[in-house]
Amino acid sequence: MLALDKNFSACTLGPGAERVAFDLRELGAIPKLVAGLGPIDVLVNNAGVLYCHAPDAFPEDDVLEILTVNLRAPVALIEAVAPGMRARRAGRIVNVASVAAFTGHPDLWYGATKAALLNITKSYAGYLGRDGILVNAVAPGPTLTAMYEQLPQSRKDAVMRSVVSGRPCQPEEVAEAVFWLGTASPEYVSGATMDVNNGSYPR
Amino acid sequence: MKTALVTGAARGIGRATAVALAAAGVRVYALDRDFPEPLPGVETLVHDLMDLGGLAPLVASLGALDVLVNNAGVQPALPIDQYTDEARKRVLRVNLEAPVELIRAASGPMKARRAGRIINLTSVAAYGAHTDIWYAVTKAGIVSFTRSFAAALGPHGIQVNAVAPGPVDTELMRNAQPERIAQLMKAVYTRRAGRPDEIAEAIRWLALDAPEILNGAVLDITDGSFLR
Repeated sequence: MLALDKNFSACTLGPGAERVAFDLRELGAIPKLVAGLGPIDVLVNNAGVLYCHAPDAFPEDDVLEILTVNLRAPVALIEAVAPGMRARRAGRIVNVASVAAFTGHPDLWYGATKAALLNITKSYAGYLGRDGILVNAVAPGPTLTAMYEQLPQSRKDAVMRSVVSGRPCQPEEVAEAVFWLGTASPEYVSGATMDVNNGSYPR
Repeated sequence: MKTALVTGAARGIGRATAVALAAAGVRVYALDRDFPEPLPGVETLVHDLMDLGGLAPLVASLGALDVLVNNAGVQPALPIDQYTDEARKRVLRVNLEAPVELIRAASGPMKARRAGRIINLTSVAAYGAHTDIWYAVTKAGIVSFTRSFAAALGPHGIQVNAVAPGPVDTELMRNAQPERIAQLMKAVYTRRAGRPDEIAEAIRWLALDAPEILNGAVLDITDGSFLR
């Protein structure tokens, strides 16, 4: 298990995870990075950033960062792992999108990248499916992570009104869905988006 | 030990689901109108879902259910101008009315225990144009009541989800209209139909392992035959 992040200072992962310090804004360095990791059976594109600036006051640098980290880096990682998966005729890719892909979002660019990530999931399921590679996505509702704390209160209130259990999602619950898609789900599940939104957006 | 009721369990996806749940240590009641082949390791219940009135007493006789899999479904595979009253009544009764009646019957005790998982079988037929109009209507209806029951029962700790398979190698698919199957098979990545055990694995996961937050969802098992 290779855990990639730009900063591990708050990381509680145990010794079973090998840490790879890398900033996904360095798109050009992704092919070399992946080449040095050995064969990858499962790629989980989870990293994402969010700012919640007003759409008419979104600093250009932040727009570029969101597009790079949420969208271009997942594509670069898929492109980097795909040749090895193709050669082995096996591999699983799980992209972490968001219910924001369907609902819109206070952060215009965050919502847009998550919608695009679902489209990318379908495209790559088609490009790679004939070679035995499964590409799926999960679309969680708001989940209790550091990102949740960044949300405006209005968004948090809307979440609590719409979920059937009356609570936000726990990170472990999204992980369970990602784990099944990454290891055990049947081959016939590909190009799919698994909603983990607790009834808040029936789609 | 958990207890599950699986409808349409004599064949195809229902049979594979009964086998998968039994293999996972679940006590399985397998319901169907007949069992042409023996189904070891489960308790078989012979009941025709056309008999709606008999469902509540039947469910009550089983004791508390942890899992209900509404799998039974029929597809007359008729163009609309050849539909008979009998065929229409059967597809509406078995595919739509019976699962709602079973959820009504099973969810009372589930509410009392604040636990229970219900999995409904819909289909890609719910999403697009279909050559068997009443069949597709029932499958779209299943998507609808999955969401309604998730909203109604979710606050009571009950999960209600659905799976939507594309083409699966079952009797139902073999009897379907050939143009419908050709349309689905054009798009699939694997160039094969799904296997009943693949759908069963997804149902098993939703019944036993899926996180509690997963509710009101429809999991597509379509291999690209429909991308939603």
